[in-house]
Amino acid sequence: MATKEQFLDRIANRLGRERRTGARVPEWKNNPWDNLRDGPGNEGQVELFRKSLEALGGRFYQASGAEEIKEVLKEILEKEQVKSLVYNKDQRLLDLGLAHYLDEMGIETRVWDPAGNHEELKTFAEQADAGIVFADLGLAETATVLFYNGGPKGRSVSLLPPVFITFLRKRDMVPRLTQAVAHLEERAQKEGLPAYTNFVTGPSRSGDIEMDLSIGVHGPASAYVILLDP
Amino acid sequence: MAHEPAFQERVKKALQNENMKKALRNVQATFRNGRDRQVEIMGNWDEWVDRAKEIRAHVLENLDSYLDQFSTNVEKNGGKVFFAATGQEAIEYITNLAREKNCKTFVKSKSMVSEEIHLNHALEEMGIDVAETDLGEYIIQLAHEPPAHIVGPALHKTREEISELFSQLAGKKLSKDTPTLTRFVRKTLRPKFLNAEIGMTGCNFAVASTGSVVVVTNEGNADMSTISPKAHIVLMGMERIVPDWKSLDVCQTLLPRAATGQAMNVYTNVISGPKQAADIDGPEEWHVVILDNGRSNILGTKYREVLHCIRCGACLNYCPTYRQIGGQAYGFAYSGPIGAILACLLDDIKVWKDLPFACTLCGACTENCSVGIPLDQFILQLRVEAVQKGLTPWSERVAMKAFSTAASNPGLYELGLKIGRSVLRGRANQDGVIEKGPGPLAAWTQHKDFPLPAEQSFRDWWRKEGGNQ
Repeated sequence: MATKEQFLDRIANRLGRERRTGARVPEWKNNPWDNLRDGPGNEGQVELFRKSLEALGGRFYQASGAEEIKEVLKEILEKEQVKSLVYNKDQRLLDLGLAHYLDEMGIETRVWDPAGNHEELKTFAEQADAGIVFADLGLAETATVLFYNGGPKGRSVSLLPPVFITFLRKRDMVPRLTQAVAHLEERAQKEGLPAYTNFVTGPSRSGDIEMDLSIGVHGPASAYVILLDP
Repeated sequence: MAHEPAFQERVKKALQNENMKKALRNVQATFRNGRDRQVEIMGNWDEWVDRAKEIRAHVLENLDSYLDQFSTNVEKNGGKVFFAATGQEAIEYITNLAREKNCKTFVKSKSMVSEEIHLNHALEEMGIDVAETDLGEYIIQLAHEPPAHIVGPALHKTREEISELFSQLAGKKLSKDTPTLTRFVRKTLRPKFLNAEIGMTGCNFAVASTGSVVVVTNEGNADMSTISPKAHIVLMGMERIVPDWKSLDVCQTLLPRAATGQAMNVYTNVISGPKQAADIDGPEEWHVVILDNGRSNILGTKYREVLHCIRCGACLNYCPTYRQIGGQAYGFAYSGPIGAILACLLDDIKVWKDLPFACTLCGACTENCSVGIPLDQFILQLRVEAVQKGLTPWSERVAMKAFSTAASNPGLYELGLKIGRSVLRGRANQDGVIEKGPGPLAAWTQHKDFPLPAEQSFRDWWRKEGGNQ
């Protein structure tokens, strides 16, 4: 059974040199992304995000202010006939007054709270009709949302229920993956990455049956992004 | 590894499967069109490919350093790293872990490396219920077949066949529409995901700077494999490394676009440790198995660049041979141009000598490779090796030798043409094609037809037209 040292020694040996440590990526003069897409925050990006999401079968909404948020949520939840719902104990969601709206709509809810009963929460999330989360970033080019999961932000919430609803602040919209990986790298240096970060781009899908598109294989079949402006 | 029946038999079987031929045309066209569109949208595709190539070359040149950095960071993040020199060592580590966890259900997200080392077999022998959870992998697992495509393992199966497989399992007749079949899979696999003791995923990219594993899926099955099971195992080829997140951007920008024509796959998971104290879901243990299994052999050779591969499968989608025979006829876990090369290099050219010859050397694979691997050149090189090692059939070697002697002597060549025509005339069919050649020609006509030499040779025609000798 090879140890790490033997394993790495063999690689060095095959490369015909001594063992090497501390390799660094060369400083490239140009990057392929240098001239891609325009700066963050403008309408072009929002439009691109919307188009990309809709092309994937996802739905895009914009809302500003408590009244509009409530209306949009109501429309989605009624359309999807949502009776039960789980959401992250994310301050940004709590600040929207979510608990109040959902209560008003008569929906059974659970908050993904590490202080709660874990087993019960997991079972509930698995049975729930919908999950609501708050995205940390939105990637305009591909209609991707980024989540730093962990603690009160559960990976189950966005994945297990068949309906997946994400809020995204307009100021968290970036042009593409390039800015998102920079964000990740920065976060990694400052506070470390959570055990689970994920990028989600539209509803769960597969083309494995005769290349015919099927939606909602293991993850949600319906994906909604509500852009908050401001 | 398994290579029975012989390549010629596998090809023959594939060519007789009309459904598969139709499916292959559709698969190739759909993936190609998708990719071509993305190439157009990006506008500077070649710049991305060039950078990816530079990054991959840099990684391989410094692979020991980056693996050291990656594994140190994984351990810092609370993960366990196991370096497996061989497939057998990886299997032992994983089966030991399964025993330790008293594992009854083992869910797997798609991993080509696990196909490479035949992991399922070992787990099943222990009586473990191994569930492939990628829809395509699940289908071929039920059908007891190897993958037919790196990206879409079951794309050769018709919906009738799939419905038949699922109906047997369901114990009732299921209709063959896509939503019904998909729903059945969701319902069948959900409890397995929730009850499994161990979840396994592959690894598309391993980011050295933060000790993170990046796994991409469209279905969400990699996510699912890490939600409930107490242990998550990542099985990765040792060359999966990217140095940092900027490099990940380049490779991830290319992968889905080149693979299926998607600008981004649905789920891109970044796993950087087992669940943390405050987390409700996620695995308590995180194991990363880093596999050599013949890869280091390639490092010191002229074929090193084959390790640049990011498994996008584009070379399969542009290959005229793959189009005719599909992935299973190759007989190796990886198929198409990349598979033909990897089989010879990861395993043994003696066993897989036929694969480099099943190629038209058209170069479409190289032209469309995401990381600039000179695939067709490598295939040609492997042919040279096969010939030098005396691995080609005796009759072919005799025929080639005879041709080379004759071709360097004009008189002999001309005589040969005349005799050839008279000998072969009786064997041609009505289209003037020889399907079963005599003597040394027999080996040739086993794979391809041979045209009857023309009534008038080019040389005769040239003379009559008054051309110079």
